[in-house]
Amino acid sequence: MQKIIEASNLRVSFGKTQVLKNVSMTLHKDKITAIIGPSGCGKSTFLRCLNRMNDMYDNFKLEGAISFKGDNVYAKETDVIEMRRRIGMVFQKPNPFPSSIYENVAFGLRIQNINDKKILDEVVERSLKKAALWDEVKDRLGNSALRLSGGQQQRLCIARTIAVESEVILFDEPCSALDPTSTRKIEDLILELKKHYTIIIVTHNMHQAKRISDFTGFFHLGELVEFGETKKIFEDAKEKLTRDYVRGDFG
Amino acid sequence: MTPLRLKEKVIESTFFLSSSLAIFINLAIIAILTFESYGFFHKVSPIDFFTDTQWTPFFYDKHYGILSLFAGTFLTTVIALAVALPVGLISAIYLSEYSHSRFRVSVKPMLEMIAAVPTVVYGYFALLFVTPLLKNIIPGLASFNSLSAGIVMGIMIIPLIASLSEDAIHAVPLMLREGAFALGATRLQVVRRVLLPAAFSGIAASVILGVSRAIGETMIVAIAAGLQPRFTLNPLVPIETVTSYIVQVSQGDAAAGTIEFQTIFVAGASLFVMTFILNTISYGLRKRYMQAYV
Amino acid sequence: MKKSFLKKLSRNEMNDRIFSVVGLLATLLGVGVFLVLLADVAMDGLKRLNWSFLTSFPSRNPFDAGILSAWVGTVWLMAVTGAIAIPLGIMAGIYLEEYGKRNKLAGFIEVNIANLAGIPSIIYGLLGLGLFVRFLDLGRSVLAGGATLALLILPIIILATREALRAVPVSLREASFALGATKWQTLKYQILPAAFPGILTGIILAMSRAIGESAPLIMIGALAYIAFLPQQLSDPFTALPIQIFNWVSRPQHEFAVNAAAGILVLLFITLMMNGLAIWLRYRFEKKVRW
Repeated sequence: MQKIIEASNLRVSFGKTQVLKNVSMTLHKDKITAIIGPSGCGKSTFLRCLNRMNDMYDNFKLEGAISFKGDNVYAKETDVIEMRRRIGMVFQKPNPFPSSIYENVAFGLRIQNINDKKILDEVVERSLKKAALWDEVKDRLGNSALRLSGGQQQRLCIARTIAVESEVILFDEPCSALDPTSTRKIEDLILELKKHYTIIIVTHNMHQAKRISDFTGFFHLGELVEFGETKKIFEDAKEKLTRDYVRGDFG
Repeated sequence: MTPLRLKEKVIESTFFLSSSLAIFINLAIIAILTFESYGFFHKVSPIDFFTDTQWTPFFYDKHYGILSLFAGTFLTTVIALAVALPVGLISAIYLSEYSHSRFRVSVKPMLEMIAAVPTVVYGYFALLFVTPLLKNIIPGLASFNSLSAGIVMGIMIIPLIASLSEDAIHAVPLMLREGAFALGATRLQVVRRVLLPAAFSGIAASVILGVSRAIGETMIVAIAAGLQPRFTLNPLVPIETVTSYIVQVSQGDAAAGTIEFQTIFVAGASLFVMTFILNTISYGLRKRYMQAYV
Repeated sequence: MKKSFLKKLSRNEMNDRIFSVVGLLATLLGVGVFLVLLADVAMDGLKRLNWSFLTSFPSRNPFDAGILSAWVGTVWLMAVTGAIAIPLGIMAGIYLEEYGKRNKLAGFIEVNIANLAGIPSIIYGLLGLGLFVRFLDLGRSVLAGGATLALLILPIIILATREALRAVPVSLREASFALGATKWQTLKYQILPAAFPGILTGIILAMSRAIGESAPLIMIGALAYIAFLPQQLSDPFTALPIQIFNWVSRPQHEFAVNAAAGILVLLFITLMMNGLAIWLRYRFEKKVRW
């Protein structure tokens, strides 16, 4: 097993509130890692640290280190733009751009000045196929993405990320705004994507973590309580807190 | 640095320069007003300027007592406020607490339209409609007077006070209203005992902004209030305000460097100081209520 | 005991009812006066409003006088004002909302803009007179007038731009950044198009404000009697509000009629622009659904 991202002694605060306390975690290539924990435990913050999405906030402060394939993500000379392309993200609420389905997928290429129609067509088709959306939208690529259903929008957001050839895809509770059928489709898709992508998924749904992930990390009050193989976390956790949580005693 | 990053930097710097223009404009205003005022006070003592009650720069016997212009500004502002404060505040309460949302949605654009009417139009209205109308009721009313100018100015300011006060009242959390309603209070009691105290700083901010607007208003008074500096509080006679004096002089041919030319900058400087103080207070109050509720 | 309790309650309710009537009247008062104003101006001016009024130069004879040089001057002014204020205002607004949030200097700029927004228009006239007419020696020209009005409406455009940018949901920025877009790419391709209707609304309102301004132009030295049209930026000019002011100030009734007719034209333009802005905003608010 090859490690791809490594977080060590991560301490994160927004203003005076400390959100993450000394978190260290190793993420493996081409595996699905689930991050679970009660709301407010810092799991989303952790995820957003991995591709520096928290940089947008004024009072964000981070200590410790995150490395991606050996490079320090927070180093001064890091090209944040390139790094974000390689570590893609799918958000809690589907957030397609208010443009056509086609342009949503093509956007990531266009900003790299790739405007060749042939290349774009090809990438759009391939990405939509990989995101299991092609058959549903192939006849109306010019339609507004905002007219798709919630589940379709979320798959479009995944296609968008695939199009820029991300190596890692971060999922921030991608199904929390979806109905069970759409959730199912996304889960199947994530399992399929695992073949080529490293996936990290934050979820408040323990069953989801259990169903799809290879590894699971349990966060509580800003600390990583336990991290290990999913089977072990759910059936034979070391910590009592973890056992209580996965049993549904709190959260 | 990569070309992409360089481009980003250049764009950011251009945007920064545009926004820093604001500092430059303020500095330019202050510099110009100070420079010309300095020339003025070289010739006229500040004591005379602030204590003399006559303003006669164009007479043989020259006096430079700004008080008579202040009196005009004060008078028109007080009259405007006497109209705009009650009407604006009552409208704000009505729109926020009494009216249906459909009524609010259709009335608010109308209020915006009222605020958008050019002031020269209001001047025409004050001089050629309101004054003749008032002459029927008040026989001693002069053709140019502060009363109709003030009233029309008040009407112009109503939308400002109404809309900003409504925002302030609307921003009071629903909880506070519900608490009072649960105790059996009527809407009016809730307004008086809960909403007005809670929204006080926001309402005060809107009123102060209204005062500042009235002090700075130019065309209505230049057209309808007369151009005769007079140290009086009689609303029926012609007066002159700080602003209308500036307009009066600039229509003529005061050459640069002369004291007549400098007087308009001195008048402008006192206007700037007054509105600056009022706007700052209003800004501070607004910030306070925004921190409290929004 | 019970009776007095009931009586008190009903008195409170009575006050409440009375207030709801008073409130309605107060709210409609402004609207009513506005309608009276419109009717008054229309009654005086409508009969004077004809083709030759729009195509004649001003004249000593009120019946020959028209607003040709006035409205052409206004068009020139607006072109200059827009060319200066719109790009500068949008860029400044973008900087303050998207780039400068962390630094103290941006905070200071913000206070400066808030101050500029509250300065009476006549002070801008003094600024224009001191800065453009004299210091930069532009004379009493269209350029000086347009530049002065540009400074006057700059804060309005900046504030409108910021508000429009603020209304664009964070999720859109996140989506773009997560795909590796730079800040400017995110702005150019996603944020600005989404904020465009809001910015446009602000621009229209600002321009409509500039069209109606008279005091600063009087300070700059816009003349009422101009019997020719500006050919270049350095030419002297007049404008609609200036012409109206000049006519209102004359004692003869015929000139007041001319003023009323000019006001009808001016009101038509400003109210149309405001109506358009309100309609745009209404449509935009309805459309947003991310």
